[in-house]
Amino acid sequence: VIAAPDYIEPTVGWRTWLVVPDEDKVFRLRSIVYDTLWSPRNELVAHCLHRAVSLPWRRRSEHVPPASDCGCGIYAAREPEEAASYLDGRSWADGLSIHRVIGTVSLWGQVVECTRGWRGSFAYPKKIFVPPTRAPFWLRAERVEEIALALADYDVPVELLDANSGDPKEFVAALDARAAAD
Amino acid sequence: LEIGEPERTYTVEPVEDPVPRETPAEPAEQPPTPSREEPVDPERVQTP
Repeated sequence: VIAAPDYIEPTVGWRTWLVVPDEDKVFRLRSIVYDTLWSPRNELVAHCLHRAVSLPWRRRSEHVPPASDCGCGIYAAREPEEAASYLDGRSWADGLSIHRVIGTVSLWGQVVECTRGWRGSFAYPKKIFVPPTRAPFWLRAERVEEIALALADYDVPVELLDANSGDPKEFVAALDARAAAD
Repeated sequence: LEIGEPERTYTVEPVEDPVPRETPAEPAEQPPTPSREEPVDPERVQTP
């Protein structure tokens, strides 16, 4: 017996990505926490990385991600503020990245709904916003226009976002202004 | 990303593909090549 799906529209949430050059020096989206590249024109498939990094005696049994009692799955936040708080963050991976971008993401397959977002088994960017870089001009390796042009490979709308500070509230105000203009 | 505690699990099977996939390129049209089985030149037939 094949169960009917609960929904036929993807769940849409917010997330922030790093922009990194891939092995061919082409700019691609990368997850912030895990070393996961998002390929253009292919969905990202969740794997339970928690199991791989857990100590042997603390490992959960194998399961299809996302499991509600695990932290696995591809994450998306309900509110843009939550994702925007990662735009100004720093991680070891920032040494490889040239910028951080924010946007909406479609989740489908199995989805774990949480109080402030979701974890899904499949994901693909839905819309990408490229904020201005705050690096001083003598450090700017790339202009945001070039980054936006490269991200057009994902074949989803890519827009430049006008927000000059690192304050997530300003990013959200800029997103709201953009939505009102659309 | 902080998304809080799990509340429920559901399934989503989108009607439309959320991924703008690469469409396979149409093969370029080529002039038809004569079949090997068909003779290219008419056969010569001996007339009485």
